[in-house]
Order: sequence, then structure tokens, then C-alpha cells
Amino acid sequence: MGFERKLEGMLVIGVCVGLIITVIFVGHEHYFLGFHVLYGAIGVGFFLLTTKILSVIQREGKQDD
Amino acid sequence: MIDISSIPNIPPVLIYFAGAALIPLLGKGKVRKIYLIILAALGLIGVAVLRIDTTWEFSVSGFELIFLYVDPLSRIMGYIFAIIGAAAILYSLDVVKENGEIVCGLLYLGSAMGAVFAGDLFTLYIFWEIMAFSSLGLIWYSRTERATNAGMRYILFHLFGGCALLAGIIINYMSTGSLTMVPGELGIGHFFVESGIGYFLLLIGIGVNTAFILLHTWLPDSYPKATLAGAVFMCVFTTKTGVYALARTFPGAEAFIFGEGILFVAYMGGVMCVYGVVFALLQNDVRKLLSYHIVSQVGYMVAGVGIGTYIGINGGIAHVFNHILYKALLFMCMGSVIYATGRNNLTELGGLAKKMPITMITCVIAAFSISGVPGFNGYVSKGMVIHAAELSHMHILTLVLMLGSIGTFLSFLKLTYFVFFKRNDGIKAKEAPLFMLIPMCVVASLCVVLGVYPELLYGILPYPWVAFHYHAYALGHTIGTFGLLMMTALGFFMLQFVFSPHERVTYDIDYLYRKGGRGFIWFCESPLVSFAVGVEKVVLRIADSFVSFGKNPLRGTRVMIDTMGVALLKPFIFVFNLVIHPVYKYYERDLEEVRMRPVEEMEKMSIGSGLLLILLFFALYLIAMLVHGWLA
Repeated sequence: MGFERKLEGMLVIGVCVGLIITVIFVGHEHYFLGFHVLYGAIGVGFFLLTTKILSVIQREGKQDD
Repeated sequence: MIDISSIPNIPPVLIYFAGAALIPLLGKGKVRKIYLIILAALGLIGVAVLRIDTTWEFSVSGFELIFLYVDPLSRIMGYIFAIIGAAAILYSLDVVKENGEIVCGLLYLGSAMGAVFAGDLFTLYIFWEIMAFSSLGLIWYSRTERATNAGMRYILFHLFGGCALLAGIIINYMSTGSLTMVPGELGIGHFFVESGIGYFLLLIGIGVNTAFILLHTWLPDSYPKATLAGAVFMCVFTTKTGVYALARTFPGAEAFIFGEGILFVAYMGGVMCVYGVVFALLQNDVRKLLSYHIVSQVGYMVAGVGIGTYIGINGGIAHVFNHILYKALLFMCMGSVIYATGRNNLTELGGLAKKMPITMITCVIAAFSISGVPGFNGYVSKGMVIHAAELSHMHILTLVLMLGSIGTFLSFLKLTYFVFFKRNDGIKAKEAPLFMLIPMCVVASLCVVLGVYPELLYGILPYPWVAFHYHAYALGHTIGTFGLLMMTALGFFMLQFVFSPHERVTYDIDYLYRKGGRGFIWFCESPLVSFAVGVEKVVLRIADSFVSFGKNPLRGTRVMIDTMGVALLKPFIFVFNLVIHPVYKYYERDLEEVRMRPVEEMEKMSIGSGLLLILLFFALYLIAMLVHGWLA
């Protein structure tokens, strides 16, 4: 049951990512009103996610060599 | 009225090199300050009077070298180097105490000028190397262990890049027979570089200075450890000279992947753009954050040059010009903050807006410029590069470059907020000295002027007629950019807790290089040294036996015969025991006996007798050969 739920969640995320990519490309071709606002939100989300992922390879302490 | 054309065209490198040579004679007082101000002004005049198509050529061992070549591309680079060089010199007046540091700064500035005005690849290479060594001084003058180590890594990287560049130049010369960088009728960058290993090595050599991803790690490693004034010099010249060399050699360069030509330099620019921003967002050290942003911003320039169209090259070079202004300003602002507070981490800073108002205003201007806010210079050149990508139907690259804008704005919201606006009552600071503030204010005003009136810049770009067709403030583009940035700002303030700084160590790809480097040193120190010691022992034993043989050849011959006898007979003892064993024992005993006895030197002959003996043997040999010939 748990596995099916996870699979379902991943499917939904996959569909959402697909839709977003489609919207970005179609939007970029035609520059519909609000495309930049939407892209700004997606960009912030992207950096949020990336910094979260990269925090895995950080360790506590002062930045040094 | 002064007739500029009557002033002789002197290579700017000579002005700065001569200026650096005189510094040690001036002491550290007011005379040095006045001298440096005059030198900065002379440098500006020297570049301003340079006329297009001026050349200084000379011949060395049959090679035609061009020490000075002026065209629109080298001229715009010269202008911005002279402007920011003057600003950096002014900024140094109060901060720099040691003459050596100023000398390094001037040599660095001069060699960067030499590189951009070089008309051939060999002259470019010479100045390229001088740049690397003089900038090393700016790191080492910090006089800390961290700076010393970072400096070593920096110079190792640049020596690697220099070797690749030199090898590329030689291979290219062997295949094309030409060293020239003077463009033909087709325009900038359209001189012949033959594809192959030379092409690849040239790209690697230039890629190190341009901080291509995987070759970029020297930059965020060394710049934060340079001196305060040194960082202002360093953020300008090395990477921008790399972009200049890229514009000369690889505009619109294609790689054939699966049979299809791909503008890989342009896409490398896109990768640099996002990679730099992502790592900048993770930083706590203000100058490390700015260093990662150099990687990102150079990405826009590389993308523009990599697209290779007239508008692309214009955009890339315009971004070089604008970036130098706002990036130097950012390093000056953060230098002032560190100078005033003694702190360089975002977690330790805050609340400086009221204490350092001029630094705050200039920093906000620089932050708006780098983020591409309309009305500031970064908006114009960044827009030009993105427009070039759109016109070339490179949709993915366009989106990546726009993504870079979002990350940049996020990052600078973080920097300005946590340095100036976040509450911190425990910090004591006062505004930076006047000589630091003057160049900051001048450069900040240039950022605004070039943002409001970009036509000033268009006129000096490599292809001005194309630049004037670009409308930076087209309504749709301006509103779109505002929308993008507003959404980013909203996202930052909503998710501030995520983007807030932490005292953390971030690993970049250099972690792997350092691991590899340590492994290499272990290999050299352990297995390689053991092998060398083993080889040395064997060689010494052989030498010993030769010496012993030389002292007493009779004894030596006996030892040899006995040793061979023992070695040859030993395997057969068990098979033919009765016959072999006594003989084997004889050799063994004899060997022991000979070895036990001390080496007695034989009676030495005089040289003449020795020669006579040799001649006698030689005569006997000739007689034998003669007899053999007759018999045959």
C-alpha cells in the first residue's frame, strides 16, 4: 500500500514537472502575459530545491580549506 | 584644443610597467599617493589616445610579433581596464601599506593590458604568464597560511593552463604557419584555428582563465583570500582577459556531437551561469559569494561569445564592460565592510545600513546592476546576450540564462539584506575612508549612467551598427524583467529561512582534485620513493663490484668464476650428487676464502706502459684479422 502511494506521488510529481516544462517552452515561444512571473516562481523553486539537495554535501563549521 | 592624433600611441603596458618600477623609490607617504594618482591618470590618457589600426611590430628570430594592435575589441577592453585600474589604484591608496603589493597590482594591470593589445598568440602568452605570477603576489600579500596555500593551488592551475595554451599555440603554428591574431576581412575572431589537438589545448588554456566548469575551482578558492585591494584587481583582469581571448579565437565554435554541430562554448556559458549562482547561494563568506558570481556572470559573456553572431559578441563584450564595473564595485564595497568591521561572514554581519550609508547605497546599485534590474547597466548587456540566444533559436540556453538572473537576484537580496539591513546591534563600524569611497561612488555612477543611457556603450562595441538596433527598453522586455524580479523578491522574503546563511563548509569539485592531489603525493612519497631507494641500492652494489674489480682484476675474475660456478651447479646437486657436489663445494669454499681476504691492490702500471700494452693487444688483434682474411 505504502509503495503504491509513493508511486502515485512520484507519478503526480512527474506529470507536474512535465506540465511545467511544457508551459515554459510554449510560454517562451509565445510570451503569454505573466510568463515571466510564472518563470520567476519556478526559478525560485528550482534554487530552493537545488540548495536543499546540495546542503547534503555541506558539513557544519566555518568556511575554510 | 589638444589634437589627440598628435600624441604618440604608446602601448599602455609600458606605462604601468614603468610606473611599477619606480614605486620602490617613493617610500610609503604622500609622494607615493600623488604618484599613483598621476599614474592612474596617465594610464587612462594612454588608452584614450590609442587610434584604431595602430600597430607596433618587431621581428624576433624570424617571427613577426605584434606588441600593440588596436581594433574596436581591444580598444573597449583597454578602456574598461584603464577605468577600473584607475579606480583600483585609488582604492588602494589607504588600504595598501606595502609597496610590493602595489607593484604586483600594477604589473597585473599592465600585463592584462599587454594581453588585450597583443596582436599575436605568442605575445598574448607572455603577458598571460606575467598576469598569473603578478596576481599571485596579491594573494600572498595577505600573509596568512590559508592565502599561501590557496596561492599555491592558484599558480598550479594557471601553470597547467599556461602549458596547455603554449602547446596549443605551437601546434596551431605548426599546422597553420601563423601566430597572428589580427582579424581578416570577416571580422573579429575569424582567424584560422585548425581543429584537432591544438584547438583543444588552446581551448583548455583559455578555459582555465575563463573559469570553465571543472577548470573554475582556483577562482572561489583564491579570490576570497587575496588582500582587500588585491581582490578588486583580481576580480577584473584574469577572467575578462580569458573572455577576450575566447572572443578572438572561438566565437561561435562548434563541436560535432552525433554528427551535429553544437555551439558548445555557448552551452558551457549556460552551465557556468547556473552553476556559479547555485554555489553562490550556499556561501557565508561575502567574498566567496562574489567569487562564485564571477563564474556565473562570466557564463553570460561566454554564452554571448559562444553564440558567435554579431549581437552575441556585442552582448558578451558589453557584459564584460558592465560586469567589470559592478563586480569591482561589489568587491570594493565588501572590502570596505571587512575593513570597517573585521568580519567577512554573513552570519556575523548586519545592521550596517545606517553606519555605512555610502557603502550601502553603492552596494545596492551594484547588486541591482548585477541582477539586471532595469535602469542599471547589467540589465542592458544581460538582455543583449539573452536576445542573441533568442534570435539564434537557442531556447534552452535562453531559459537557462533567465534562470541565472533569478538566482543572481536571490543571491544579492541575501547579500545586501544580511550585510546591511538585518538587525545586529553588537556590530561597531564607521564609514570607509575617503579614498575608498571616491572610486566606489564614481563606479556606481557609471553603472547608473550606462544603464540609463546605454548608447554610450553601444558606440564603442565591436559592432556598433548592430548594437544600435537593439532596444534595451522595449516595453515587453522591461515589464517581463520586472515581473521576473518581483516574483523572485517575493519568493526570497517568503522563504528567507531557507536562503539564510549558515556556518557550513561547501564542497565543490575541488574536493575531488584535492583528494586526487593527496593520493598523488602519497604515491610519490611512498611507493615511488621505495622503488627509487631499491634502484639506488642495486646501482651502488654494481658500482661497488666494479670498483673492487678495478682494484684487483685477478681477484675479481676469481670471484666471478666462483659465483657463476655456484649459481650454475646449485640446481643440479640433487640430481648428480656424487659428481657435482665436490665441484660445487670447491667453488663455494673458494668464494668464501676469496671474500674473507681483504682486497689487495695490484701493482699499478704507469700510463705509458698501459698504453703500450693496449697498443700491443690492438696490433695482435689486427694481425689476427689479417691472417683470418688471408685464410678466408
